[in-house]
Amino acid sequence: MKTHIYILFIFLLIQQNLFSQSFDEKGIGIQYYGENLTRLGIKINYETPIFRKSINTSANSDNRFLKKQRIYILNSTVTTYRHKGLHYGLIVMPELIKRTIFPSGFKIENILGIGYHRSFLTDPTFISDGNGGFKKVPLAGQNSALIFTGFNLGYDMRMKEKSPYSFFIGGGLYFRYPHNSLVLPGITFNMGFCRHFSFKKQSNE
Amino acid sequence: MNKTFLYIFLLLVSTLVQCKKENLFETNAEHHFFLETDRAFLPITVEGNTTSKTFLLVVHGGPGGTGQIYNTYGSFTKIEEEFAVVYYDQRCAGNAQGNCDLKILGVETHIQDLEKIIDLIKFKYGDDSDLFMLGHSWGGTLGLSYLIDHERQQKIKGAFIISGPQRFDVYASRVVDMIEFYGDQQIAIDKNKGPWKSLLNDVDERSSPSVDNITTTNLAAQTAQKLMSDSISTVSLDLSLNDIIGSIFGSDGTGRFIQFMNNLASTKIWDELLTYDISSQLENITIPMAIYWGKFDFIVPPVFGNEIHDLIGSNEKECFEFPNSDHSPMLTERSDFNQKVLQFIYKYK
Repeated sequence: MKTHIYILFIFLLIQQNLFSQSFDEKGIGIQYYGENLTRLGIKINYETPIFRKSINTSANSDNRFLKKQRIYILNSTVTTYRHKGLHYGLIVMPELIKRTIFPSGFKIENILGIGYHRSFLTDPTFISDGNGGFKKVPLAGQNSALIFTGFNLGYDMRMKEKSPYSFFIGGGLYFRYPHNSLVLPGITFNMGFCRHFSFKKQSNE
Repeated sequence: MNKTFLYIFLLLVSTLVQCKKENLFETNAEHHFFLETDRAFLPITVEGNTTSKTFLLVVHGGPGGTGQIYNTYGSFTKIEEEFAVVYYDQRCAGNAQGNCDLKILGVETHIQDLEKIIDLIKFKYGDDSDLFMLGHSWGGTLGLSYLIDHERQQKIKGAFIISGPQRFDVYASRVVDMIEFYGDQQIAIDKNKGPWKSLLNDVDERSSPSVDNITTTNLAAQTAQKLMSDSISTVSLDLSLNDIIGSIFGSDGTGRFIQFMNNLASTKIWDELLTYDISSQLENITIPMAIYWGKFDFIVPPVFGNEIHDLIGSNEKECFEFPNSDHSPMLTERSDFNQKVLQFIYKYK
C-alpha cells in the first residue's frame, strides 16, 4: 500500500513538473485600443492572478495528461484614445478576466470591467461669463462611469515555446453614463501582447 | 520597473497634449472650438474666408440632426470662398457631448444656446463681424423663434429660412393636403398609380397632432418625394473615398453612436413642438429675410414658406421656390442656392 502511495506521489510530482508551468506570474501588457474600431488608442494593463485551476482535458500520444489552465485575473488598466474632433479619452478601469489556456497555447479571455472615463475636448472650449464675454475652460471635458465587457482570443507562448509572452486580439462593448442623460454604447477593438514576469521554465528540462 | 511606468505615463500624457497656434483671419480657415452651456459641449466649426468678417451661421434641422452634415456634403462650398460659414451642433444633437439635462431641453434653451453661439462668434472674431443666419427645417423654426425677439435680432444682419415651419400644430394635416394634391394629379396622368393609391390610403387620416402622427406623416412625405423623383434634381455629393470611409467608421470626426443616442434624446422636444405656433409673433421680425423652399418639399410643404413671407414684418424680404428641389435645396440645386445666398449677403452686409 505504501509503495502504491509513493508511486502515486512520484507520478503526481513528475506530472506537475512536466506539464504545469507557474501561471500565477504577474504580467504587464500593451495593446492597440480602437475606440469604435478606428479611433487610435493605447491600453496598458497590469495583471495579477487571483485564482487558478488546472483541468485535465485529454491524454497525448505518450499517454500524458494534458491540462488546460483556467485563471481568474484582476487586471488594472489605463487607456487613452483620440476621437478626432470630439475628445481625448482617459479610462482607468479594473477588469476581471476569466482566462482559459489550452494545452496548445490557444487562450480565450472573457472580460468584465467597471471604471472611470474622463474626456478632454480636442479643441478650445469657451463658456459665457454672463456679461457678453467668454472665458476659456481649462481641461474641459466630462466625467463618467464606464462598464466594459469583451473577449480576447490569443496565444500563450508559455505553454509550448516556454517564452514569457502572450498575444491576443479581441473586441468588446462599452456603456458610458451619463451622456446627455443617456447611456452611450460603443465598440472597441484590441490587439496586443503581455509580458509575464518571473516566468520559470520548469518543464521538460 | 518604476522607470517603465514613468515612460508609459509620459506616453499617455503626450497623447493628450496638443499645441497649435490658430490664425483667426485667413481665406481658407478651418477653426474648431466648443461652447460649454449647461454641462453640454456644443462643437463649432468655422470654415471659409474669415478675412471677410462676414459669417453665415447654419442652424441645423432635426431636432437631433447635425450641422456638420452640411459641411461634409459641401452644401455651402461656394459661400465659403467668399465668406465664413459657421456650423454648430445643438445640445443633445449631432456630435454634442457632455450631459445636457433633458428636463430643461426645449425651444427656449435652444434659443439661449443660439444666442451664446452668436455672442461667441462676435467675441472671437470681433464685434464688427457681420452675422447672417441660415435655419434649415427645424433649424428654420428655431431661427424664427430667436428672431421674434427684437433685441436678439439686432445681432443678425439678415436671415434665411429654408423649409422651416413656424408652427407644428397643423403640420401633419398640411403634409397630407400636399400628398393628396400631387397624388390625385399623378393618378390622373397614370403615373405611379399603384404606389400613390397605396400612399393616399395610408395618409387618409387627420388625427390630432401626436408624435406618432408626425412620424408616420413624415415617412409618408419621404415616400411621396421618392415618387416625384423625376421632378427633383439628383443630389450629387462631392465625396471622396476617404470621406465615405471616414463617415462610415467615424474617423472624419463624426460619432455615429453619439449621433444616434443624441437623436433619441432630442425627440423629447416634440412634446413642446406639437402645439408650437409663433405665427402671430413673426411681425416682430424686421431685419432682411429670405424664405427659400423646394417646390416638392413634402416634408415641410411650401405653404408654410408663403405664410412666413406674408407674416414677417420685414420690409426687405424675398421668397423663392427652387423648382427642382425637395426638402434640401442646398443639396438638390446647390449651385443656384449658393448663388442666391451670396447675392442676398452682398446686398445686406
